[in-house]
Amino acid sequence: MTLNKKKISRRRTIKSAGASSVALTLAGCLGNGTDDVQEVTLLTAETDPRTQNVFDAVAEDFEEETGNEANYEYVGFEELADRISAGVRADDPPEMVIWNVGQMAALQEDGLLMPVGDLVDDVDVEIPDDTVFEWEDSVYSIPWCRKIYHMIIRGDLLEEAGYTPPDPASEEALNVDWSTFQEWVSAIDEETDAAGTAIAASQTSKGEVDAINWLWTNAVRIFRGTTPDEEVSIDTGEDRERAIEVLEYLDDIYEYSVPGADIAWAESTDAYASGSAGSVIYSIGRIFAALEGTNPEWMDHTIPLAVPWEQHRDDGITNRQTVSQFGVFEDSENPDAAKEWLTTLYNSHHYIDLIHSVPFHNTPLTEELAQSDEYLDHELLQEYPQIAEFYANFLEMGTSAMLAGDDGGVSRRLAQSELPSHLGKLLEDTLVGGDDPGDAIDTAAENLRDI
Amino acid sequence: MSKILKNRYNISVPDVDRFTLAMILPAMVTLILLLFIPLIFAVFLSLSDSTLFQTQASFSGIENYTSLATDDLFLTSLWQGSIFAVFSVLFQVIVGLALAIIINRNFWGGWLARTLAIFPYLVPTIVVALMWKWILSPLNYGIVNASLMSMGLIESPIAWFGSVSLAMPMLIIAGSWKFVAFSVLFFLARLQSIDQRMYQQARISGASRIQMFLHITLPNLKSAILIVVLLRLIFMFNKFDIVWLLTRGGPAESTTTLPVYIYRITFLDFDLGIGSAAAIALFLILSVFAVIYFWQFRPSQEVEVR
Amino acid sequence: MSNEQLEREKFKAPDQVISNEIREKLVKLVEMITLFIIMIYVGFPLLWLIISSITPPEHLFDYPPTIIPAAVSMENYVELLVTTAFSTYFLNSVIVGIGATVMTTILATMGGYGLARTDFKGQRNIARSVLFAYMFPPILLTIPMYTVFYNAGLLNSYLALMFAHVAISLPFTIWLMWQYYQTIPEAFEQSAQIAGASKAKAFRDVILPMSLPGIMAVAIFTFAITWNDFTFAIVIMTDSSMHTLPVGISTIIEQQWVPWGMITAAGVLILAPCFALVAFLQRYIIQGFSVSV
Repeated sequence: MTLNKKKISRRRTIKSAGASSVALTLAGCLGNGTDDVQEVTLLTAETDPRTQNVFDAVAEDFEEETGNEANYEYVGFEELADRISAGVRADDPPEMVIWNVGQMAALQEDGLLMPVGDLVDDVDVEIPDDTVFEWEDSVYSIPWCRKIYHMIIRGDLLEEAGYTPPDPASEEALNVDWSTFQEWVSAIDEETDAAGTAIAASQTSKGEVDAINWLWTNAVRIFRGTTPDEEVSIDTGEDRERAIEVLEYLDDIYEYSVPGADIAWAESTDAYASGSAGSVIYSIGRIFAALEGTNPEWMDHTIPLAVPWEQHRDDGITNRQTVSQFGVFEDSENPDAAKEWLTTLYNSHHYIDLIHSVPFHNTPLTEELAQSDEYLDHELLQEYPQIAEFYANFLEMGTSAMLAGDDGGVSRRLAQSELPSHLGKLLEDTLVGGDDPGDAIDTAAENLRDI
Repeated sequence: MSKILKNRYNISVPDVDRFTLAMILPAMVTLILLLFIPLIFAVFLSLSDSTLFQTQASFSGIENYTSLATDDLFLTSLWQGSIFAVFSVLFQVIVGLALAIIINRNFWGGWLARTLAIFPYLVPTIVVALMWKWILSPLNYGIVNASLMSMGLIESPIAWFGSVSLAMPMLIIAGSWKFVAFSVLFFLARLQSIDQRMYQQARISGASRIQMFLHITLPNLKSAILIVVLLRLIFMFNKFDIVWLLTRGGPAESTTTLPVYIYRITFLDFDLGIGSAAAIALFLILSVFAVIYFWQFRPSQEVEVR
Repeated sequence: MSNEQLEREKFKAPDQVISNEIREKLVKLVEMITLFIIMIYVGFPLLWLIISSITPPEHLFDYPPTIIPAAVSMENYVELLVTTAFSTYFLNSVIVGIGATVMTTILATMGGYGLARTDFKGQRNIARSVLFAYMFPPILLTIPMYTVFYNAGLLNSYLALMFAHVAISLPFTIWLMWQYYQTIPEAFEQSAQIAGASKAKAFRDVILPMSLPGIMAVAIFTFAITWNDFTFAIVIMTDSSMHTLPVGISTIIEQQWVPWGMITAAGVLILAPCFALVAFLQRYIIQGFSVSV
């Protein structure tokens, strides 16, 4: 198995060093746009080596087809902001960035993005309306996959604690209620070396995802109303009451959690892969990548579940999905070449390869694609058909609409609530800081209104 | 007087000027280009409503500064930043002083002890942070928690960086690991330049070790201590990396220092205007402090000509 | 003197010797205990880092962890060197480190001397004011620096990162050298000049050799800055083949999970040269900081 083996080959490193220094010299000597070879730079936090391999393959085809060159900069999710800002201010933005809808909204608000609606129509891939960032009838970013987060539990620990683990493909896995989950984690906590769970009560993007999934799954809406007049609703009426209940429940099971303020993405995989926690919110793909190097025998015991919810609150949504997007910078040197690069990606097998590069993490945009032979033809998806089925079920029951008003229109303002992680802070304040849930909700709402 | 000297020894005036200028100029140009221009740039940004990605912003007067003054988190960060800086420096100076005095003697293994005491200063902060996270982790692999548990000192793992009451003290201890070496360097250097005959004489006249420490060592170290305290206070007040890597300012904002606040506002809230205003405020606070410090203690007047 | 008194004197003397000895020993004991505690604080994290780095990855998460590893292997090092561009990062860091250190040393030696030997009002204040450069948070320097280097066409070049590191180490090092030169009496140059040397020659032949310890301190400080820097490196070196060690490490971590085996191995490989440097040069390093305070 070579799941997480890094393949940053020296050959590539040397090659790209040569290419970029040549390009720099050219750019320096000839000024803008006078030379034939156009260079496209993509900034991305998709650092998984398998994903990097796909991008490299796209670059080769891109060069063959158009004679242009593609350059990739792998930057941490948070460092992206620093890097883009520096580029924009020096009048040297990159051509493209992969980021989430919220950040696209911020970039678009400052007038940096180029409309890419024509691409959405042109590419061979079906792109659903609720996955793009659209503003005043123009589409400003083009999605390539959904990222789905859900509860993951160690079946062997559950057995050790005296419970029968559910089948991932079953209805049961999609409908774990609060009391069952609490029973499970408390039993794991008591009967095994692991803590019951690992709740990310931290002001990080991981904390934000945990918070939003707990809230959304339990029918708490953070915003309500029609775009662009949507209002923060988490501190009003039913939403507030439910939010308080969710926080109180989380406070109960926090007793069985490893300490949450330390937990960001890396720590949550660590907690699971080291056997420190029996359950965690993440995607199977990331968890498998971590288990590969440390405890591969646990892969077969890893079971995906919906985030626990109360049965009577069925409004059909079991998860909140992040949609990963490409944005093209209008004032970059070669925005048109960037669009060509995107066409090369979307209209070839590379598109599926890109989704396959982290299977069970990068999830197709549509159910249709998710059920297609083309997508299902992958080693890991074949090896774990019951997990594949869970993902197919789950895809159906999710929404990407946390950033949108009730009419489905994406709000620029709401979209930008993601990065500061005010809801991650809500969990941190309540679970770690010991604040009263009601007060913490008021603070969070106030922060959200300030955006 | 100088004119006479010059005439007598035939030192031409333009030669002196050109030479001195040539000596200072390269350094000054570098500083102006890469430090002072950015500073002025930040002053302008702090008076604008600029966001991180906006190149066109409009003048907003002192609005950013007034909004800072009313932001509770800014004031909290200022307070917590001061706690972090002051206690870090205290820790670094006291531990550094103790270490320097002990390893200044020749004893078996002294070479190794000196190396261990000094080299952390060269270790990159990211390595330092990962190292502490690795040993202090509350997860199963955390060796410190495991050891304490096997000794029966604690019952369950402690989240050293993840609890409101422990995060700040642990941050100070872990964050100072690298910088104790900085004070050791200065103190050890000064100790080695103290004339050993002073100790011999003191010993002959029957002074105890403690007396020698109080009357010879400490007075000789005074200027070094004053300098180290000043430099470290400035550096620790502005320290961002180790705090961000270890706690990200959490939990529940209990370790949010001013640089962390500035980072959050600027790079996560994308509000460059307010971020710059906070940075300028930090700059002014430190400047005022430094001026008072120089005026009060005159640390650099104590340079001895040997 | 009566017999009784004599007796008392007899016993008193050895008694006092013993108590002095005991006191000496006690002080020594306290010192050794203090040293032991501090050395655990400094050394234990390092020791555990080294142990972890030679533990095979499948045993890294063994529970409970033990001081003596279950097995020993170099697997982590091999994986680090084979599957990541660690050696490239290392080389980049060394190049930038040496370049920035040499540049800073030259500029600070010259600038510090110029300042120290110029007689003008407020010289002291100018020399101090360079320290004020450290009062502005460096994280906000990255954006304007990017603009400067972009316009100079220097992004992704060693030179740019060297300049950035020179800029952040210069204030302290100029100040250090300025202090240092004040300890060297002007009489040295003056006598050289009387003997017919030019100012430049007097500086080169007389002063420079005398300032070697100060230069050492400057070099060490600059090396510490450049070996450590993440903030500027990540913005200036956007091309992954130009990454330095701190940035390289952060990309190995990948945000989603920490490959602790490789990370501990990388940590040890980054520590090692620092350790060697101090181990062999400690005498000179300490001397350098001595005269400058």
